[in-house]
Amino acid sequence: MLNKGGRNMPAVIGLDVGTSGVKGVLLDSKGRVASQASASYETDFPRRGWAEQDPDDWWSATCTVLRTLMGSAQGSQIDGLAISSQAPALVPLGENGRWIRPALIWMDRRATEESKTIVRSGEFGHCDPYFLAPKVLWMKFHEPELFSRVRSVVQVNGYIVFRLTGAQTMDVTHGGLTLLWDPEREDWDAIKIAQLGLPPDIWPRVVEAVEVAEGVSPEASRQTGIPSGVPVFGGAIDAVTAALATGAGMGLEAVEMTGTSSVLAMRDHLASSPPEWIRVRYFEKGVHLLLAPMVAGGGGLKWAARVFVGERTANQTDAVYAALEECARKSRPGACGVLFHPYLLGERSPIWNPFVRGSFSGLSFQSTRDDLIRSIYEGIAFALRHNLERIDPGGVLVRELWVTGGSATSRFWNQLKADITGRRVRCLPAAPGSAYGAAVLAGIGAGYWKDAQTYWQHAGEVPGEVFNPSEISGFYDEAFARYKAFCEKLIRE
Amino acid sequence: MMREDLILTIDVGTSVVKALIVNGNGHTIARAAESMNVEYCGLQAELDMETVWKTVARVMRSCLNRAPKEQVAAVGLTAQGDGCWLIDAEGRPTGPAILWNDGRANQLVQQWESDGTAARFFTLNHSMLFPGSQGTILKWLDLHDPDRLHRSRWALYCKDWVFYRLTGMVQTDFTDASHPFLNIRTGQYSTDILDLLGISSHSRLLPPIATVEEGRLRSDLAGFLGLRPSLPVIAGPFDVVAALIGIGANRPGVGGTVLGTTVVNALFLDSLPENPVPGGMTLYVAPNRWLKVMAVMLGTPNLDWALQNLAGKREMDSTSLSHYLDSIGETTRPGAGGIIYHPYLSPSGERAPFVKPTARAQFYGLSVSHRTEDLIRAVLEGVAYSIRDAYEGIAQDYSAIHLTGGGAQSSLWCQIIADVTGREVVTFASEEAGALGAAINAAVKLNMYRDVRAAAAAMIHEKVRYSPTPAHHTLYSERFKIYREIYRRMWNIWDLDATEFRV
Repeated sequence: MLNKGGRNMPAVIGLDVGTSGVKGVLLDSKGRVASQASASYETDFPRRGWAEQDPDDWWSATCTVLRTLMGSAQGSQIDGLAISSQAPALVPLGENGRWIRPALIWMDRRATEESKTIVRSGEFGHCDPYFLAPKVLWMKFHEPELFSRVRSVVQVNGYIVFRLTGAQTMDVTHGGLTLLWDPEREDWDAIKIAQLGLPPDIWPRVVEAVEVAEGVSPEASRQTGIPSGVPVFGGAIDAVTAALATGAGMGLEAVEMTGTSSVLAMRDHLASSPPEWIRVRYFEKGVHLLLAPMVAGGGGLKWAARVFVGERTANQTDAVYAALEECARKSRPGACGVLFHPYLLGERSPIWNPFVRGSFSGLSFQSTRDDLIRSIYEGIAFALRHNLERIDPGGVLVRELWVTGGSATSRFWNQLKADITGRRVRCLPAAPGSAYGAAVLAGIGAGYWKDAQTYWQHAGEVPGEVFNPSEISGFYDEAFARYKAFCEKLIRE
Repeated sequence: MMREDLILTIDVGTSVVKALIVNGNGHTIARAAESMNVEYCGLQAELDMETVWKTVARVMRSCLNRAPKEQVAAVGLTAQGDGCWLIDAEGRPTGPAILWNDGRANQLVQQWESDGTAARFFTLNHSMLFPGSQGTILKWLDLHDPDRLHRSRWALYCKDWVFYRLTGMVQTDFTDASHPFLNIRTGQYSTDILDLLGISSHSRLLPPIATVEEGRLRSDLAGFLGLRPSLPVIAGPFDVVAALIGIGANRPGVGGTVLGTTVVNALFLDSLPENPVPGGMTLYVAPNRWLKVMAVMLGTPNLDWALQNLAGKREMDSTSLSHYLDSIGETTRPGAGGIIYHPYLSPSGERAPFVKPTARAQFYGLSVSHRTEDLIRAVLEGVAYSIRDAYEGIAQDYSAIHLTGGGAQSSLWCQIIADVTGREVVTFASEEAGALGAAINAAVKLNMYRDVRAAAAAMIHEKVRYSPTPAHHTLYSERFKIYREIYRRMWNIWDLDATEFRV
């Protein structure tokens, strides 16, 4: 695709190295998307609970995407490149930067014992196999020989920055996901690292999201088509760029990024943030995001499709989801007493228990299939409310919930979320996603826009349909009290 | 012993009357059945007593028309227990029968539970009071319809009513009278209990007690039915106890389970426990013979509900159901992949081995890898856990479970029950255990056999024995601990009100 801005139009590139593939966006200096490209790869599940990816797959997908973007950007002047990614991951590099073993990605659950060890040490608050520290400990204990050869531990976007430039870095937004972080100094925490018995010298240089890590190397230039010397910025975790891409994150709104699982993000306005939420640096200095990564999300409906509709039809997803929604509509608010706890794969925030599982409760023989299906939608919305309540019990800080991603297309579900959370829901089903956010980041880094606000003033008003809580909203308080009581009584170590 | 003798045996259930003609080997020669419509109105559950009698007479006659009736040597009888069947001095009903599942006295029972009456009652009778027990109904009538009690002469049970119409004699037996009227130690009517329930002024309503009710067929009926005049009529124990006799579970150490709409779990005892844990029911059966019964609220409806609402299968005939359950057995593993189901689907909660009206069913431990089949298997396992829970509530050892009722048709379910309880599960050829038990009782009275044991040996036919698989039993025992822990933790959550949404 030839860009309409003509030749020599300045442009930046944003990449998102996600769980299923790489997406890239070429954004011109006027803030218009000039072209997009993507390439996918697989996740390997060698054992139950393990999830690994080959860093070379990220790199070759990145090369494909960049060559495609450069092909469509004939003559454009590339002013910079920023990369966001799935996070956190353990990518252990040895001598000369070769990876030592496939990466343990965010979804990998193997470090459960190490996670418990960290919790028991009492110094780290809650922990989960999701974070970086237990993953590193796992490798130390289970693969000591390989671990002794580790010279550096990078993140997914850090690996791509390294392949592009030769510099080993970690962007500042990843810090909060490592559990080895000093939020005051915004750098690795040498004391915590020592407490866990980890080597002091394998932690890469910390860079700001919009700081230049290094320029593209001649070798990488040959492989990607990006001119040598183009600045590569520090980048960010995908939650930061996805929030940036919606235009939110600055005021009194929370953003729910839905998919198989959901992540809730909002700007930290609090004097002290609740321990269940993860505090990460936003790309702007002095601004922090609070993140509630949940396992609960669209995955619950995918499961429902299989259980209630059947294996064979589950592939015709749109029709199946429409049928499920129709069933849910036929039931009544409160699903006639049926409650669903959507922890089908364990839960992160606010439960932080990888062993907890889902449940239907409150069943009687008057409960119907429609009630069961409705309870799944309600249960996922209760999980959302559970997180919001920890951060904003009075309902004053989070006035609006911005919903992006797959679930945002369902008007039924958006209204249900408004009723259950008691908050206005704005849906952005077409929000362009993390790669676009990464491109905005690169544009800020390249000096096109001073900050995100300037960019959004430039880009115009945020669209999106709004759903207000209806008159039945208060009815859900009692069901939510039961939802919480169940969590407190039935979920323990 | 006269092998050509046949027995006409009758089982008057709540919704259906059955009659069988069986021979001395327990084989069915003829059968007939007719359904009845219980009048449900609000919490009330009633049957018109004359209609019941006429239905019994019709079913007897149509059964006799299909067999050599001249060979019939006796009539055996069993029927639903509990409830209140009142007649006047002329033998006319003074109103419809109030049934065992009638709920008009719910509040009375709640009051007795809160004011300590129920606890004192338990020390005398070793049973839990419930709304459909005759003592509760008499007290309710005393408060709300005293005139009916004044017009009445006898307070009977269902089988006593039918026995009266067959023979003209007014009697009841230990098994029906035991709950709530008998001193559980002596087997005598207890004035303490009548005082406690506030019905001692109505003690004249209680009929004499026999170990087994024996009478002679009235001559006008003999003519109508084409039977010999003065044919012996033997009314056995009420249906639950008769069913236990019909599956050979009437001896200590052998558990008897009827896996039907409700799940009756019972063990005969030689001695009475000193300090029984509250829960379930103890019946005085005969001198030095008691029966401990744990009746779990719902059994097979759990499976029906799950098949309909999870698997989208309604009204399956028995062949396709059996094929479907076989496929569940082949595609799932013991433990259902970690799902634990609690089978408390009744809107009135659970009553054994614990009493909890707010209890509700649940699936716990759901994971993204589970399929419909795993959930269905979890339901079968959950009912088996509730059976084990019931037997552990009886707190007497037992070596085997003799199983009957609709659930016994599924070999997968039988094997799961064996694996969960760690006991051998035995099923039987006859699906009419209650009627067969009444026939066994009659055969002994006719001197066809020396005693019940000998009659049972000849008349009861085993179908399959399911032995527990040790590895599966170990796994299920671990899961069972979690099953119990979960309902313990649910205790107060169940009490949180689930208000219904109304527009």
